[in-house]
Amino acid sequence: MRVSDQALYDLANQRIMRARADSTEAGDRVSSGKRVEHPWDDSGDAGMMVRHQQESGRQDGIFKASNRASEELGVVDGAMDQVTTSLTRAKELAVQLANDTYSAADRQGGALEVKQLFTAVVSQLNVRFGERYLFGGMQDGAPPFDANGNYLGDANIRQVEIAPGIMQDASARADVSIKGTAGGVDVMQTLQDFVTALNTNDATNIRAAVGKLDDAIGQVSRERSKVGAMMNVFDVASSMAKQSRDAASDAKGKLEDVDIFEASTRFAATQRALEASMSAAAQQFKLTLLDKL
Amino acid sequence: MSGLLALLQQGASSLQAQSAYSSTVAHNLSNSNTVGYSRQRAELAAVTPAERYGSSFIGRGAMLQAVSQARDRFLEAQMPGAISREMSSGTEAETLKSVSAIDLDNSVAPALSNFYSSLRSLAQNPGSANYREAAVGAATQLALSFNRSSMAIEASRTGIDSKIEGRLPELNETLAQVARLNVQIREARNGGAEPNDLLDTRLRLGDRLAELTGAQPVPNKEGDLNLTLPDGTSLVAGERAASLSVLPDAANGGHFQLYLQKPDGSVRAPLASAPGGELGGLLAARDGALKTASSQVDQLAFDLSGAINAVAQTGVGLDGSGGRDLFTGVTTVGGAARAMTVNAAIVGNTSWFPAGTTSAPGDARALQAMIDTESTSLSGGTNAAGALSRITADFGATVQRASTMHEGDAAMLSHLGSMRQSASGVSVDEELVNMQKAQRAYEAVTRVIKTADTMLETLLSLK
Repeated sequence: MRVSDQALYDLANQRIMRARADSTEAGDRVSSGKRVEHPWDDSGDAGMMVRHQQESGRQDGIFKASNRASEELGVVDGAMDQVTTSLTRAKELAVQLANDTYSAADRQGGALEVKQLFTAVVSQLNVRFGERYLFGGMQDGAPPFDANGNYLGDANIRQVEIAPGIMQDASARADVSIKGTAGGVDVMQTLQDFVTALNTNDATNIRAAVGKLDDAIGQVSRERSKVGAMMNVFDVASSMAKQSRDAASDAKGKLEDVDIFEASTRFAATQRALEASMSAAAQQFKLTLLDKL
Repeated sequence: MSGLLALLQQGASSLQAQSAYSSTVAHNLSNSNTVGYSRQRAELAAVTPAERYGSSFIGRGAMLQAVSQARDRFLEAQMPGAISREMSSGTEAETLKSVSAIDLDNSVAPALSNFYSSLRSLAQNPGSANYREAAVGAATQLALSFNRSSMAIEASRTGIDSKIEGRLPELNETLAQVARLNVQIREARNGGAEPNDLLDTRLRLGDRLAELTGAQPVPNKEGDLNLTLPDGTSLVAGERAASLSVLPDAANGGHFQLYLQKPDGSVRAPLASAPGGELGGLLAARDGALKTASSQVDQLAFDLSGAINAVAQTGVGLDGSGGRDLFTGVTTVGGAARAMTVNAAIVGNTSWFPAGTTSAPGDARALQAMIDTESTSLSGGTNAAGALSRITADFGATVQRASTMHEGDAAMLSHLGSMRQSASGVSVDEELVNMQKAQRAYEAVTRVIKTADTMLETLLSLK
């Protein structure tokens, strides 16, 4: 093939430019650590990366929500534990003061302690987590119990997503577990009745309070069991969401990130190719008849 | 005596011939780097008729018969098509690669993910003013992200319009130049000589027009370079040239439509089909991948805002009022992404964010339904993440296709270019050899003249 000088220079130029472009691209990949930066780097993988990114975000949201729900329920459980302790103390007083050996004055002294327990229970049930009152149902912006033990919340249960589209109850129902609206014991009323019985030295109702307080303790304990079960669900959900989030993130990373060994090898190879194309061009330019004539 | 004088005359004409040969070599050497130059050859021939001398003919030396161009017509016929394809695919690929709006980190995807995360956080504490602010902020960020993507794609399309418009003066001038050269070449040929340098200039302009529009040559018996667009629309016919212009096309969002006034001077009309070359590549990028991406982003904005608003309408704010959209401004699919915004009333008073189905501060049931829209199948049969994935993959695949096409087209053009250079390019070594050849012949002819002169002197000194 006949080779013109322009072809010689053009070809050398093209080869060097191509080798330099390859080398620059390989260097970019090594330095950025990314194999797919633009959709055209690998359109299929780029599309999948968007899906993995969204899935990772979604699972991260579920993970955080489950964690928070579990923490909230932990606070609910702690509050109910304290309520149970208060009720247990009230029951002890009821058993003790039901004995006819105690005088009216003794029983009035007991009433003072039970009243303090009542106030403590109200305070425990008005527990907050962040800005929310946890026992108010969806009326969580204000204390759910007033000083007289009246319930100001509602009967709704909050729900939290534990997997895409799957919801789980995430609150205790104070209207049921404390106020006994579903045919149970009104804990607050029981304490108030007990105080009244003590103040009026009513032995019959003091003895009756023992059984009612026992029922109240059982009622609160059953709700605590439900809360515990919910916490377990959220703990499992949190763990699964974390795994799913990490798996989606890993999958994105596998598509996006460069194999550093392969990239480094390719970078070295492209640098060699660039050197070779430059050397070849320089050698070709050296030989000319101009130097011989 | 007369024979010796003829010898001197023969020497003179031969010297002229060798001198012309040398000049041609020098011309080649001078133009060894001139784009579009074809090496020329001085074709020498024996002077005829030979002189009769008795029963024999004695030659009368050498003369310049013609200066011709070294061109391979087979290769030349393939060049315009190859140039057009390479420019078209290369321009499309490079133009699309300059668009970053659909890059993974710049697209709507991060904002969409953040929006749903903020809804989940708010669902945990729907009465919280802080979380409401954050959710409204994330919704605003999502709307802005749609706005930005749409505007970036549209800016790219508008930039292409400017580029097309900017090419037209050069294009029209080049068309006119080819038409003028057709006239000049015809006139030069009428004088009996081949105007090689004019032919080179015309061919170079033809190559440039192939680059710009994919113009293809149509030979005629007059030797004109007539040019047509790939669909056969005439650009240059003899001494007449077409001209191209642009006007906004309302049916294509006000983007430029190419108009052509044919060489016959007929009324300006829209081009029936897309040209090739750079203009073709620019139009393919503007009305292909970018238009598709723009439509897809609009469709996603329309579907997503519709799905979320459908839920938002059923929800109520802390004020107990409902029936509010979260996203406003979206009325039609076209332009939805650009128009999308967050309800100003909710931005101004985040307690109006329709989080629940009652005004209870802990009610997050409407929010939960909004979160469920993350899984809702939209008009394309997939959810929002799937739609984004498709936009990214479709755009990437188009750019990949154009890039792959360009690699093939560039390789083909490079090969043809090398072949063309092989046939028509100047080799300095070859020309130096030719120069040596001419110099030797010149010296030899000079020796002949000197010998004839000595012989004449000898003859004249006879007494």
